[in-house]
Amino acid sequence: MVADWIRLAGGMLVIRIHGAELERFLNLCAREHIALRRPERIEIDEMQAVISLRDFYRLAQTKKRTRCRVHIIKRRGLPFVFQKLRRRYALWAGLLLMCLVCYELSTRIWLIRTNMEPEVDASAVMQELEQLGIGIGTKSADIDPRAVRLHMMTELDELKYFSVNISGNTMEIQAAAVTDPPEKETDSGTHSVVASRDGIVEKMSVHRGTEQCSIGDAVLQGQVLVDALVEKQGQLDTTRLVDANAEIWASTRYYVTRKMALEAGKKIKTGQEKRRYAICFGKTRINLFFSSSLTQGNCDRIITTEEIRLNEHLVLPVSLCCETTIPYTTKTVLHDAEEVQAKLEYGARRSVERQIQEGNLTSMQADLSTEQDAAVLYATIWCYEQIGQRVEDGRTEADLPQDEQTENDEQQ
Amino acid sequence: MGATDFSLGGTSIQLEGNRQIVMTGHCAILLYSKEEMRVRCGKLIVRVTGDGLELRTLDEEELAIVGLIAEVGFLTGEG
Repeated sequence: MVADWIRLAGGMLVIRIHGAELERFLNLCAREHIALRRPERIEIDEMQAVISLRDFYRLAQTKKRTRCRVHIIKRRGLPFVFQKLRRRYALWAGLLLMCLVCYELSTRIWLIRTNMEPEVDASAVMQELEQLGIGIGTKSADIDPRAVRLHMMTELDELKYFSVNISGNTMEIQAAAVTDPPEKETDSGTHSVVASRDGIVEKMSVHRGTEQCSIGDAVLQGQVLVDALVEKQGQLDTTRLVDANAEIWASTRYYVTRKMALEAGKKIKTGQEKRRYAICFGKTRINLFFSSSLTQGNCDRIITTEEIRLNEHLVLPVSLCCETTIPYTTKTVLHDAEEVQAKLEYGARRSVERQIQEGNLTSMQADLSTEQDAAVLYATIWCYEQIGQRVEDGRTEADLPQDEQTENDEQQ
Repeated sequence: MGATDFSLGGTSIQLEGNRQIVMTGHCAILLYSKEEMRVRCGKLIVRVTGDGLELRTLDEEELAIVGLIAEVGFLTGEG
């Protein structure tokens, strides 16, 4: 197969040989290394064969010696195609133009991919890029990733990291935002641990400070759980204030009330779905439809854009936009309270989850009732969470009770 | 189907069933038709008869005939 293509590239001829000495002709061809393919005897003085264009030119001497006549039956291959089309100047010009356009387009950026953290202001980044003259259609060679990075890091204070990678027609931007450093705990201050919520203590892990509660105790919000004051425990020890630190895990309870109207509007598709297409060249959009007026009444409008890419890195500057319009009417429907219960319970769980900083939901009990065309859910949710909260302790060394030994020393 | 080899002086003949005959060495065609082919191999002339005979390869070193071979014979002198 490949050999055939190579032969066709060089040009092949189907020839018919007439003469009385065909056998001699074949023997001479073999001796001269002229390859005759698929020789076929047609008549006693006639045969047909396939020969390459190069060998055909070498055939002149042989046919003269054997008094044979050679006729070309068919011409195949690239040289003959070129010969046939050689006077079609517009075609060649178009081909040349297409090659030039393809080359020119392949040197430009046609897709900008961004990978930015949510904290990064993407619009500000794109605006800065625009100021630098970088956008869709910019020549890849004109973009200096180092200079762009330097510019961005200088201009946008919020950036911690910025990179530009150019691969084929695609430019990829990665950016990360600066995060505030965690607050440094000062050694000088003293803190106590208090309860952030009411609950029953289930697990305690005290690192510093004096425990003021034990497992199984019911504690109230604001109650001191671990005190900063540490009593002296031996002759050599002294009563002192420390920076209390502890994790107190407790069983807590939340009361949630959620309400939802039983009457709701429901979308009913009219079935008159309409699709309109447009071709986008860079920033230019060409609509392939006449009327661009908005559809009357309610409708969903979905726009999808499909890029045309040759491979992962080479993107053509053309994309196909498809705008789907789905008209609908609204109908008022009345739900049963039971139908909306699952939604209300989910909402109740989510609202509690948002309040819990560390911990999880353990169980829920919910009562559903109907009040004035609305379903009302009264839920009690039990959780297991960390309720220890460090608060600043106002006491200083002066507020500490004086040791007896110290008092005696002072009296002497 | 296995191949049968035999040699005639400087020429080697390989017969693959009754479908192909390959002659290696300095061979020259004396007669070429669809029913009969005669090939000179040194002092001997090889005569191949059959139906739908065709030349598959023809160069200085090798000559191959394909088709339905009925008979292979050897002739001396003019044949």
